[in-house]
Amino acid sequence: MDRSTVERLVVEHLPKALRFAQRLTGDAYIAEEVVQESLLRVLRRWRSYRGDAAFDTWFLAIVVNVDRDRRRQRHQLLPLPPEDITAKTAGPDDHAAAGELQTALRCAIDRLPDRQREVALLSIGEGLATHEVAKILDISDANVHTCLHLARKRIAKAIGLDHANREPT
Amino acid sequence: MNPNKSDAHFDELDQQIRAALQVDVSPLQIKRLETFWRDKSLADRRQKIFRRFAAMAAMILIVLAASHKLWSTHAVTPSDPNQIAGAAPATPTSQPKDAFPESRPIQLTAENAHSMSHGRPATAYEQIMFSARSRQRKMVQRNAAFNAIDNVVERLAGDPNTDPRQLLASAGIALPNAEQFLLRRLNRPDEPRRETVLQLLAVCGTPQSTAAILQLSRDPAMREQALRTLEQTVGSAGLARAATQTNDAGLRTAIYRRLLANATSLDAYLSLVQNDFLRDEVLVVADELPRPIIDALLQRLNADKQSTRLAAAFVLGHANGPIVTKSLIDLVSENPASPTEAWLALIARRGQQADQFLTYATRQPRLLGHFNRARVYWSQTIH
Repeated sequence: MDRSTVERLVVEHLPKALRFAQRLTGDAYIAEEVVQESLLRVLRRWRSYRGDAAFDTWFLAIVVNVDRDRRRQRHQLLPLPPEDITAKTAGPDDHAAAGELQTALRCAIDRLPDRQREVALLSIGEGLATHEVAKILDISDANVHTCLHLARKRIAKAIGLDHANREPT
Repeated sequence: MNPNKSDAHFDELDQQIRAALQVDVSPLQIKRLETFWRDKSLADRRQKIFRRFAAMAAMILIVLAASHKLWSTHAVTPSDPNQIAGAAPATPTSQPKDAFPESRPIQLTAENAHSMSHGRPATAYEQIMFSARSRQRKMVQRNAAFNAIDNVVERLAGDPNTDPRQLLASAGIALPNAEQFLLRRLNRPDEPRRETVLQLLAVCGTPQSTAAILQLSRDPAMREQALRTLEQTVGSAGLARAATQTNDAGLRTAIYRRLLANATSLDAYLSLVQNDFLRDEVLVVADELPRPIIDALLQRLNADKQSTRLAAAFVLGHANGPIVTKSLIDLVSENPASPTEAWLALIARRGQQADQFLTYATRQPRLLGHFNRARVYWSQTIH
């Protein structure tokens, strides 16, 4: 694939990458930094993209790796207080009950183990198919199913969702 | 177990999750990222083109240099060798084949009265002989200089209070030559006067001595004096550079400690903190800091150069103790608009005092904005 095609594809997929990064990081500023670092990696590695997978799959895999590196180095930072002082992903009506549920869901997703969180965000948030998620995260399809199942169970338990009655308790 | 079947009743949960993950992407951010991408891409292309041109230019220069060398070794010779010989071309006679052609004596003319080897390159034998005779003369001179240096070393060893500079001057040896001779002595494995040689190198040494002195510094017994000599020779900045040239971890640590011990060499220490590969190692020696160094670092938080401010923030963030924490808290409390690096140092602190203050800052409108900016800046600088 030639360079100008890759450059065009990057610009086309930038909004998707930024949206995904915001879901991953929960912070608009940090998401922008993650995407910037991802773009630098694309510049270094664009020749490795051979067109055998969708471009967004390849691009999102880079975003995931950049976020993982960032998290590994982030251990020196103070943990955020529960009342988040950074940009929220929820809308301005987060004081309503529906907003509270969304905030609780967001917190539950943030507390998932890294792999389950990534699978949940890609499968549910981005709506990607299992094989696409598997390719991005470099795991098997069965692993994707397992992680997704566990993630859902944890989230449901965190928000008090009763499986039998299907209502939050 | 079929995961799909068991997950079927999670549909409603999935919808709620999707709603919770709904985000709005700012067009301004997209624009910034597009600009960033285009700028970086263009810069990358230009760099690649420049590298190609540089490689081609280097190849052309190499070819030209090789051609010039080849051409100059084949010097121009007179076109008519017979002019030198002064003989007319021998014409064959009708004599039998085993008779030699008649030879004529050389006739000197005004044109060929000068050196008969004019324009002829020296033969190998001539080159060797000339070189040997020149070297012989140089060796005689060198031996005399060696002896003079040896005398200087012995005199200084006998009376350490003598001024080394005066000794060298009285010996009549040029300082560059003195350095070379001293380095030869230093490189001897059994040199008995290493301390004296170092004293003299402190006077006449140049960056050329760095490698030899660094090598000597590996010996713990000589380390202190060797590093002091090196600092006198190349300065604090040179000592900091020397730390990046050795793979001896103990030696590097000794250099870091030395640079951090004085406020005068603090900037050289901070230059090492700015090195991403060395930072963790460099900060290890900053665990306990004396008060003058802490004050100097706090001053550096207001330096003009961002890299200096950031390096000072790293060090203050790493150094332990309530004094540093309290100093930083006082700094940002009295002036919340202090350089962001002051906040960075506080964010990097460990301990209850720092945690309590930062938690307090999240609830104070006049502090919150500065704290937020510092957190964003932090996430940028550690990546």
